[in-house]
Amino acid sequence: MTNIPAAITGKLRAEMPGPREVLRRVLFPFALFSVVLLMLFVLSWYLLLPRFTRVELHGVPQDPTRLQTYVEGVQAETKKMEEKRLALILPLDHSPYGVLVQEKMSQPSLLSFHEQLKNVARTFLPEQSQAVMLQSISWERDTVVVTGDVRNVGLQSMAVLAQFVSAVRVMPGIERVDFPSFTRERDETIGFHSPFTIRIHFS
Amino acid sequence: MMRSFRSIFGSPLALGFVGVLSLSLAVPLLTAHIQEVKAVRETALPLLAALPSLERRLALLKEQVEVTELQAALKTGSQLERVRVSVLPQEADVPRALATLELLRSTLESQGVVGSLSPIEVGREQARSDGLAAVPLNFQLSARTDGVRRVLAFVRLAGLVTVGDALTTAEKNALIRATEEENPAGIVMLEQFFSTDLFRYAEEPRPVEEQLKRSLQSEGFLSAFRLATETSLLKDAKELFQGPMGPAVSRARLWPMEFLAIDRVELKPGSSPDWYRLTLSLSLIRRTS
Repeated sequence: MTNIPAAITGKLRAEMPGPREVLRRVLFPFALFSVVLLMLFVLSWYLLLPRFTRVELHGVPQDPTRLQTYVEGVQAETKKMEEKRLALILPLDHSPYGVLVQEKMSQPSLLSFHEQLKNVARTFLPEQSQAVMLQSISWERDTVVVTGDVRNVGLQSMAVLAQFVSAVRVMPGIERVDFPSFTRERDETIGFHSPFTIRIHFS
Repeated sequence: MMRSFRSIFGSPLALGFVGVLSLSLAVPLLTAHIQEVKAVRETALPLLAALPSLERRLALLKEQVEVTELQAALKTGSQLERVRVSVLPQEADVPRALATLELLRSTLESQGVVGSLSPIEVGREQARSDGLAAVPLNFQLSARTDGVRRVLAFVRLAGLVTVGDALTTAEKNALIRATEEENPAGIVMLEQFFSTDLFRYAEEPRPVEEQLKRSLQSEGFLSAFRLATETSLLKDAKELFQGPMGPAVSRARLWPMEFLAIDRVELKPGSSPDWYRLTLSLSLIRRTS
């Protein structure tokens, strides 16, 4: 085993940096790295990024935000032109007469709705197509009122009525169907039955 | 200067502060870079891809507007005049409206689809908010399913002047879109179709339809056109006015009819199968100014 002379170890100890110097030597590259990184990002932000993120609009490089503004402008002008074209093709559309016509044309056809309703009444319960009898139908201000009767299903008449209302609810163009009042009555000729009045609101 | 640099480089605290500060500024900048590139990929590139078609459509619309503008001024005046004189007159012509309903009943009765008509109750005139006033007309009639369909169609047609009036907004938009896709200049022919007199078209639809079909022949347009003419109120108008109703209305000079708004319709089963009791509450509209 070799013995290091005491003079050498003393000299070495005297030359060893203190904790402050160690910290300084560690933090210097860290600070240098951070500063260089920051500078590179700043340079990239102002010089490189605009070059790579620009888009060509009619042959001229443009900022993406300007492209967005330009597209919005085109869309707004298209809408304006569509309205102008419609006003030229159908000039009376915005007059009181046009409003009356549109109101009339947007009303549902009561007869075809009645047919659809009869079809639902026949098919919503495959095993019992005669359960729902529709009696009258009326239309007034986007609301159709249907009166009828659920019969031939014994004590199940109220449950069948609820099923019928659910089937009507999923018909196209319907916004809301108010639940009728559920009653079960007994008649000597038709047995148990549930008369109903349903209010159907169109969207 | 050198001294201050030396003091920074000499002080671990200053070096740490500079490092942390630079890094904390670099991180948001890096995030901003990522956001910028992401924005370009997600927003700008799709916009750039959609732009040519948007610009093409705008150019087409401008062309259509220019072409239509030339014709519109003359037609608007004549349509407005017809509406003012016959459809929404300043004085409600109740006897004329009653004569129209009586003509409807008698024609449909002779065809065996309508039975009795109750007395027509004429109510007191009510002012509306839009410069119009309404005279209520209420009546009941018994009719077969076909009769109900024709009566309701006739009431819907009462007050409409042009072919365009008898189409819904969706049907008109479908035709306009199909025209735009095939031939933008075809909008003039479509405009002429829309402004054709509804009664004249319903009596003799072929020449009007053929004229339009000669200008616009694509499958897309023809299918939209078929849908618009064969499933809309135009179909009912053709059925109604090509039968005995057409000559009767023409003889009595009842076209264009006064505007009848539908307030309430009720359908109840009649005394025998396939017969209904139809209750109608209508409003005969007139303008107040």
